[in-house]
Amino acid sequence: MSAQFIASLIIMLVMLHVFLGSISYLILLERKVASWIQHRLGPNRTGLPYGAFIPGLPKTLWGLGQPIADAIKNFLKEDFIAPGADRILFILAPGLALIPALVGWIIVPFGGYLHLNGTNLLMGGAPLNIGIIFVLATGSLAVYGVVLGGFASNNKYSFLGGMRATAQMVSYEIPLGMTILTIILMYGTARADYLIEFQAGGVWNIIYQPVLAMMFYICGLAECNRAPFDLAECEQELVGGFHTEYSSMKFALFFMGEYFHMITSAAIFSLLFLGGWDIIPFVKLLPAMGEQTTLVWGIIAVLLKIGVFCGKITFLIFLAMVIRWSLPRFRFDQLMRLAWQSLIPISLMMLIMTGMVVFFGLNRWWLLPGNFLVVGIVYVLMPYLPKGPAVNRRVPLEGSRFCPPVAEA
Amino acid sequence: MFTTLAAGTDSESLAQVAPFLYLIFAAITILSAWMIVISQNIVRMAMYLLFTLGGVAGLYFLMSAEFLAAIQLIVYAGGTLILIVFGVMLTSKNPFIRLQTMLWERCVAIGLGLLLAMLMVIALANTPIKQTGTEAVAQNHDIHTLAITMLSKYLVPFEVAAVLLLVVMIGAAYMARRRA
Amino acid sequence: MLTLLAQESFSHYGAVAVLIMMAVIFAVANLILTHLLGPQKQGKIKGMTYESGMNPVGSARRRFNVRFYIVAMSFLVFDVEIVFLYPWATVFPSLSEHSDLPIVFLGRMLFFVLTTVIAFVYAWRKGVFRYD
Repeated sequence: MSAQFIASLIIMLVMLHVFLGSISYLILLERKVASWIQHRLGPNRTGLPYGAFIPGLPKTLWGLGQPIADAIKNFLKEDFIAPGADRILFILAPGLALIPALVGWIIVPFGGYLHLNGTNLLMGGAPLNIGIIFVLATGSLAVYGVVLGGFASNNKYSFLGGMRATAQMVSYEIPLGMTILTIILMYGTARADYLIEFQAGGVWNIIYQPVLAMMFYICGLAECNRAPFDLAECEQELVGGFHTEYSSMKFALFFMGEYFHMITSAAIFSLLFLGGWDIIPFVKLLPAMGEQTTLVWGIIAVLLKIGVFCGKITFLIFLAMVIRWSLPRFRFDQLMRLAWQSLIPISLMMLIMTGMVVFFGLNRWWLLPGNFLVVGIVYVLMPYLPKGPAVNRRVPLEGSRFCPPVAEA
Repeated sequence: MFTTLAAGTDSESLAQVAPFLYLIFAAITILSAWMIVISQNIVRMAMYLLFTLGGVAGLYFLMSAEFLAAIQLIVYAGGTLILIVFGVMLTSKNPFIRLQTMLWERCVAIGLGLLLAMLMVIALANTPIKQTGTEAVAQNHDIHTLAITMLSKYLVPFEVAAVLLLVVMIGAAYMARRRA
Repeated sequence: MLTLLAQESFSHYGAVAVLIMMAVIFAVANLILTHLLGPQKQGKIKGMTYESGMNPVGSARRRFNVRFYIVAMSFLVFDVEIVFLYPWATVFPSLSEHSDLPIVFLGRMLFFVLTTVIAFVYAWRKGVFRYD
């Protein structure tokens, strides 16, 4: 047993349980955020009256018992399998949705390096050589839970939802891969821990490549099927989308998969663009890799790094929640157009721009004007792009507010 | 800066687990491949194919061909299989229909399978398998070496692949075009 | 063949293997537990496909539009291209500046990207990415 294996194992077990526990509370947070934005109270009743035993706190504990109650309820509900469904696929689909989501985050180096007895121990995940590519590999498997769930249910809503979700996830995987490729090209490594070490104490990538960061965040939202890209499960047209026919814990597994994807994409965003465990840019506060420290300060630094990383993840998820309750949903053609006609060409341009900066051996600060150059090129080219027919034609229904005033006969 | 890697010091006990992992992955691969053949439901076949590809990716991981394994997952499990599922959904009237095979189809399939197996056995017999040390393997599968070999020694297949992709894309766009 | 296992990388993948095992066990345990704990009652009306309270019309298993297939096809093309670019991206910044290797590698890669750009432009002009 090598020391690295034991360190990885400990961090992995701790973080897995932290994430599994926090998911139910993220759902509560999501409902709370929704209620704040919509100016209502939100869930505040289910405190499993623990508040009664603690003086000074409200009896219902602001609804903090809601996640526990939800979990118990999910287990006790009927595990319904639609008679027309394909039983094997129907049962397997939630598992296939959850398992890749549970595995992908393992490469995230939460705690940075601990210098111990002359060796550097990575306190977090596993230091894989393929690094970020591993996340893409597991992420590309995430489609199957959705597509099989949709096809097995024998329900038209599920079928349409699964189809849409597949096309969407597949489309946004390409710009996602290209943005990651651009970052790999900047540093010449795919290892997550090295990518953070390059940024720590210096300039974060979001300062070099703001446009790229924005694109990555958009693609991350789309890959997680989050609003405004939640076409697969939009309540207004498809009821529940691919999980319409699902109940009990199977339904919950789909949700856990979605939240795990959110956590993973937030973690990847913070390690690619926000410097991972680095507290503030330009200032070196925490020890970097291979730096001699005392054992106590080293351990404190590792704990601090994990805390900072989790804080960044929480902030990004909070941002995704605010976005969800602020922006309206895309239409399907807009969604596909955004992926294929904007994000992919722009990410290609960014890739070539970054390649040029690397080729001429320029300072990385040249990437910032490069970003603006790409934006400028897009802005100039926009009027010359072939335009499709206007899709959203207003149908002049009589009596509607789009109806032109009818001439009096 | 990164010369001092967090390297394992004593992995003997871990290396003992490897044969079991190998057996598990091999079993997954072979069993799901068998299930593809005997299954009569075409969507389930696609799902078993997913497990087969995943098992092969696991085998690659065990052989420290990490990048190849990731590619196996990204391209085959994540891309080609989606295409197959979409193709199934696109062409068959009811994707959950039971497939019946005729006797002559089975005969042809068995014949082709035997031919393929024979080819692979011949290829295996003619390949010199060396017992290589771990260092050599780690060097050979390094992603840097892969890139340099791909872009210099195997440049022609690499660029031919690019042209092939172009042909695929143009063909697909042409076949399914909606306006001339 | 098993001796091929590089020990260092195995100590790295150990945690991944444990995590995959735990994920599978977690998913299976959840699926089994919820099956055992919940009530089981079947009914004719209950088993009906949900279509917003209406009686279901026709089958849900039907063919779908060819556009989705084309999306999958274009995805595959780009996916393969990105996969080919990963090794290049890891090696390109560390090439020595004094040889002619960087310009050669850049040229070969630009040719590779160019073919995809041509395909992309062609597909765009053909209206593949248009969903109206």
